[in-house]
Amino acid sequence: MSRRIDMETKMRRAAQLLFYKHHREPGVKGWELRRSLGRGYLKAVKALDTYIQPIGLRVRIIGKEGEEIGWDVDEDSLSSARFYVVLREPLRLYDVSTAGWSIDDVAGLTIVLATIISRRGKVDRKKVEELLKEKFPEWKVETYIERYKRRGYIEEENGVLTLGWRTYAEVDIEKFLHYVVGAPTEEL
Amino acid sequence: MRKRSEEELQRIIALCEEIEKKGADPFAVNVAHELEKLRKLLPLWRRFRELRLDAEALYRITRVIKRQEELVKFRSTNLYFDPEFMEFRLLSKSPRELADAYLRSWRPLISCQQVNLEMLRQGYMYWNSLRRISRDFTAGGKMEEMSLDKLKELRILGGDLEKRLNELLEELRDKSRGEWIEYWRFIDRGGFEERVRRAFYLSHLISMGYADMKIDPITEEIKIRYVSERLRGMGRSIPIVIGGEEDE
Repeated sequence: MSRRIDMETKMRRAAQLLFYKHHREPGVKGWELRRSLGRGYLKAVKALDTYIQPIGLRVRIIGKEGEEIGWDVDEDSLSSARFYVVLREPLRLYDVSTAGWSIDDVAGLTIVLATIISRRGKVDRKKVEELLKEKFPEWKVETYIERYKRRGYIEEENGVLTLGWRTYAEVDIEKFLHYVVGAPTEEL
Repeated sequence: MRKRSEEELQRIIALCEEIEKKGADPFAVNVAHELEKLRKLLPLWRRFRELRLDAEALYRITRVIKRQEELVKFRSTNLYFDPEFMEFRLLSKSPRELADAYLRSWRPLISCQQVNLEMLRQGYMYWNSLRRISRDFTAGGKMEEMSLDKLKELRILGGDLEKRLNELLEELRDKSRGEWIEYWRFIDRGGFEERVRRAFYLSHLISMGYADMKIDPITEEIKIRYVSERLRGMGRSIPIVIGGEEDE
C-alpha cells in the first residue's frame, strides 16, 4: 500500500517537474529528475507516461545530439537527456491557427527547417531569406526568421542558421523530411 | 616569394574556415592538392610565425577531411536529401501543403506557466526571511568586511580555505579536462549545506580565473570548465539561486 502511495507521490512530483516550465526551455534533464525523485525516477516517469496517454499526451526523451531515445537506454544517456511532455497526435491546421499560427507561419518554418536539415544542419541566413522571398513578401521574411529564433526552433550565429532545441524536442525530423519531399498529402 | 607563400597558407586557412563556418560543401576543397602545396612550402619556413601558420593550415585541412567523412556518413542516412532537390520540392509546394507536411511530424510541447498558491507562499516566506537592508548601506555608507572568524561561525569556512580551494580545483580539473561540464551536477554533492559550500568555493575559483563559466541565454544552462591558463581581465557577477532543502 505504502509503495503505491510512494509511487503516486513520485508520479505527481514528476508531473510538476515535467509540465511546469522551470527554465526558459521546458522539460527536465534526467539527472534533475533523479535528484528530485530518487533512483526509481524512471518508473515514476513511465507511470506518468501511461497515465497521460488517454488524454493524448506522452513523455518524449531527447538525447544530447537531439535524437529521440527510448526508455531502455543506459543510465548515462538518460541522465544527460531531456524529458518533455508532448502531444501524442498531430494537430489539425484549424487547431494551429486558433493557437496563433497562420498557414504562412507554419509553411515558412517548414521551408527554414527543411533547408537547414538538407544542408546538414547549417545554412547561410541569406540563402534561407532568398528562398522565403520566393513565396512571401520581403517584410514578412525578416519577421518570420526572428520569430522562429525567439521560439527556439532555430538559432543563429554569425549569420549562419542551425536547428534550435525546440525543433529537436517537437519535430520527428525523419518523418518531416519525407512528408516534405513526398507526394502531396491529404489535408489534416 | 616567402610573402606570397605565406599568403597561400592564409588562403588555405580562410577557405577551410569558410567551409566550416557556413556549412558549405567540404568536397569543394581539393584536399590532396592543398596538402601537396603544404608539403612543397614546408622547407621554406624558418620563423615560428610561419611554422605556426603551416600547422594551422594543416589543422584546418584535417577539419575539412572530418567534415567530408561526416558528409559521407550523413548521405547514407535517411535524413539525406540533395539540397537542390529539396529546394525544388519546397518551391513546388503550396504554403498549405508545406504546413501540412510540418503538422504531420510536429508534436508540440506541453508546459505550464502560471503562479500558484504554493509559489506565492514560498515567495512570502522568502520575503519574510530577508533581512532589512541597513540604512547606512543604502545611504552610501561603507560595506562591512566579514571576518574569517565570522565566516567560520557561519560554517562557510571550515578549515583551511586554500586547501579546500585546491581540492575543488583538482576535482574540477579531473572532471572537466578542459571541456564544459554542468554546473549543477558538479556542485551537487551531499546535502544542501555541502552544495552551498561547493558553490561558494567554486565562485572563488571562477573569480580568481582558475575556472570559467558560461550561461546559455535560452536554456539558462550553466556550464563550467577548468582552464589550464589563468584567465585575466574583467569578469561580471552572476547571481545563482541555490534551491533550499525542500528541493532535495
